[in-house]
Amino acid sequence: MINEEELKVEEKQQTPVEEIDLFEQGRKEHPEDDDTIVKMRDVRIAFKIGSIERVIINHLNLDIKRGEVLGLVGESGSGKTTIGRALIRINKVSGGEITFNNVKISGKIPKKTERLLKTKMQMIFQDPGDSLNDRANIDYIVSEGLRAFKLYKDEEDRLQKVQQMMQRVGLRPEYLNRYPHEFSGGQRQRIGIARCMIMNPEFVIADEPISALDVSIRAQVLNLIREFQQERKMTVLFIAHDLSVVRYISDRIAVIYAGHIVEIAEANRLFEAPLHPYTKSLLSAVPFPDPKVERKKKIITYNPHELHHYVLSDAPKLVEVEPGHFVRCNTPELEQYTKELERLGGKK
Amino acid sequence: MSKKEEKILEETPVAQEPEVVIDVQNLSVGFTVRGKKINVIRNISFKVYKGETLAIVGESGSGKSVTTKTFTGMLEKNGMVTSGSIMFDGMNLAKFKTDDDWRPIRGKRIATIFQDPMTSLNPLLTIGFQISEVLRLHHGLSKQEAKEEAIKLLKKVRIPNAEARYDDYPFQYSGGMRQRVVIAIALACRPEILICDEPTTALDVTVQAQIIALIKELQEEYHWTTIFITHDLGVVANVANRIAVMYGGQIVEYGTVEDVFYNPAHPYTWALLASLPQLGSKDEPLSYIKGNPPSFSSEIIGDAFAPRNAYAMNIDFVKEPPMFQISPTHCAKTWLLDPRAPKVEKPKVIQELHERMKRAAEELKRQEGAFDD
Repeated sequence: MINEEELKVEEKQQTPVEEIDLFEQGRKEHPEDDDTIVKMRDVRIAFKIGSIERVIINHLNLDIKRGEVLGLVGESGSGKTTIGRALIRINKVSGGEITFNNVKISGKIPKKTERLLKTKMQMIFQDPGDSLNDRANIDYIVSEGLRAFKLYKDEEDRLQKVQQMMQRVGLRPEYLNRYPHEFSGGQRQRIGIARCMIMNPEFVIADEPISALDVSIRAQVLNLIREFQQERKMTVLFIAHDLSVVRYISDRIAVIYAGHIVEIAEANRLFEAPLHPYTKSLLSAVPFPDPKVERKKKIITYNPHELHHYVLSDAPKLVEVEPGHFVRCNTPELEQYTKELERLGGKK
Repeated sequence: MSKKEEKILEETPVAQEPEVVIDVQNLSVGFTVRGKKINVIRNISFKVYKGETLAIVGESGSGKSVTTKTFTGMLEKNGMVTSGSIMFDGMNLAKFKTDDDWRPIRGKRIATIFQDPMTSLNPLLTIGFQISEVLRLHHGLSKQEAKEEAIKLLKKVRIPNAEARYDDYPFQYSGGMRQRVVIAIALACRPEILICDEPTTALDVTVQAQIIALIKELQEEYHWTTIFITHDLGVVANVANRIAVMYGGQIVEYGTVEDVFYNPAHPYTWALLASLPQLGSKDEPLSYIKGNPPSFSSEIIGDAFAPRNAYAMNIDFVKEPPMFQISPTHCAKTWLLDPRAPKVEKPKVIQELHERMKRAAEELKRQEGAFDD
C-alpha cells in the first residue's frame, strides 16, 4: 500500500515552475519591443532613514538591449549598485516603472511573477567571501536555486548538473563537500558564478565581481563571465568603477554620476569621443601600464559646481548627440559637445 | 649658497649610484604554524635607494607585505627573521627584538600606510586627536601647537575645510579622505621611509589616481623614500623608479621601471603584465596565470613558479635558478636566462606593450588637457 504522505510529496515535485511563462508571453505580445529586455522608466529610488528620505536615484531612464553587455560605471556612492539591486528587487523602487520582457517587475507584483523572475534574473556579488553561506557546503550553495524551483528530474540529475557546472567554472567536482572558507578569493568568485549560471538566466547583474580580486585572478573571472555570455547569448549588466575593465567586456557603457546617467555610448566610441567632463576624468584616472606614457598623462578632476551652470529653466537632459551616443547636458553644453564631436571626427 | 644655486645643485643629475638607505641581504622569514616551521621569505637580497620609489609587486601570498613588516618589527607573534640582515643607517634591523628597540624607528623614521584606512584609524577618536597625538608624542608639542600643526597637515593632504573637520570622527570621512588622514599621520613624523602597503586597493580608480598623485607630490616636497606594495602592475608605472617582482617568497625580477615594463625577463612578470585588462582587446580572451600560488607547507623544490609556468623547462622542477644579471640595474631569477637555455619568444602582448599603450594614449591625447607635451 502506498502511504498518503508519500503521494503528496510526489505531487509537489511534479509542479516545478509555473506552467505559463509570463515573460515569454510578454515577449510575444510586444514583438516590436523584443530587442529591449529591461526598461527603466522615470525610476526613483529613495532610502528612508528615520523620517528623512534620501533620494538616491531620480528620473532614471535606461534600456538594456537583449544579448548585450552593458557596463555601468561610476564612483562609490553614485548609485550604480542601487540600480542593480533595484532590478533584482532587493531595493524598493519608490516611483517609475521597471519592465522585464515587457512585464512590470517593480513595485507590487503578483507572487507568481516574482517567483518566475528569480529563475530568469541572477546576480553575481562583489565580495565572494560575504555572499556565500559559511555553513553550507558548495554542493548546497550551487544547487540551492535548482532545489527551490525543482529544476531537475532526480537526485542523480541534480548532482550531474552541479558537477558539470563546477567543471565548467574550473573547479574540481571533489570540492562539492567543502565549505567556502576552504577556497581562495578567486575560487569563491567562481562558485558565485556557478551558482548564478546553473539557473541558466536570461539576464545577469554582475556587481563589481572582480574589484575584490588580485589582478591575475581578475582576468580569469572576466574571461569566464564573457564565455558564458557569448555561449548563451545572455544579457549582462556589468557594474564597475574601473573603465579599463568595462571596455574589455562591454558592448555599451553607461557612466553614472550622483544618480544620473551622464553619458551612454558604444564601448569603443566612449573611449574615442568622450564628451561629458566626468567621463573624461574617469578615463584619465585609468592607469597605463607604461612608464613613458603614464608620466606624461595628466589627471583631470571633475568639479561639477565649477563646470555646470544649470538653471531651472534650462535643466540638463540626456540628449542623443550622435546615433547611440547620449550625453546629459543643457542647451549651451549641447552646442559645445556638438562642436567637440565635429573636431574629434565622426564615428568610424 | 643662494636659493638659486641650491636649486641648480638639486637639479644636477648625479651620475654615480644613488645612496642606499636599506640594504637587505639574504633575508629569510619563518612562521611557526601549529608547531610547524614554514619559510615564507626565502633568502632575498635587495637595496632601497634614497629618495626613490621601490614598488614591490606580486600576488597575495607572495610575501610582499611580510618583507616590509620586518623593516618596522611588525611581524605577527609567530613570525621571526631566521637569517640575513637589514641594514638601515648603520643598524641591523634584523637583530631588533623589543619594542624599546623599535620605538625610535617605527613610525618615526619608517612609517607605514595600510590598505584599509578604516581599520588603521581608531573609530572612537576624532581625526584631530589622532594626528595631534603623534605630534605630541614624537615632537613634544603642546596641545595647542599640535592642533595648529595638525590642521596644517590636513591642509597639506587637501582635506577641504580642515579646521571644521578637525573634530570629526573617521566614519564621517569617505574612503579616500580617510586614506588622506592616514597619510597626514604618517607625514607628522617626517619619516625617512614611507611604506605604502596597497594604499589604493580599497579605493575607486579616480580616488586611487588622486592618492597616488598626492603621495608623489609630498615625496617631492619631503624627499622621503617610498616602498610601494601592490598586486597591480598597472598602477606602478607612474610611481615607481624601481620594481621588485615577488613570487613564492622570493624576488624573481628586479630592475628599473623601464627594465621591467619594456624588457621583462621573468615569465611571471610576463604573465602579470599580460593579464592587465588595459592591454586586453575584445577579439581575444585575456591571458591569465593558471593554478594557485605555492603553499609554503611543504618545501619548494626548484623554481616555485614552475608548475604554473608555460615556459617551464625540466630543470625548473629540480633546481632553483640563480639570479642572472641582465644589465647593471636589471636582474631576474629564471633558467631562461642561462646561456644553455633555448631561446623563447615573449608573449605577443608583452612585445607590443608599448605600441598598444601608445595607441591608447593617442585616443586620450585627442581630448584637451589630458597630456602635457
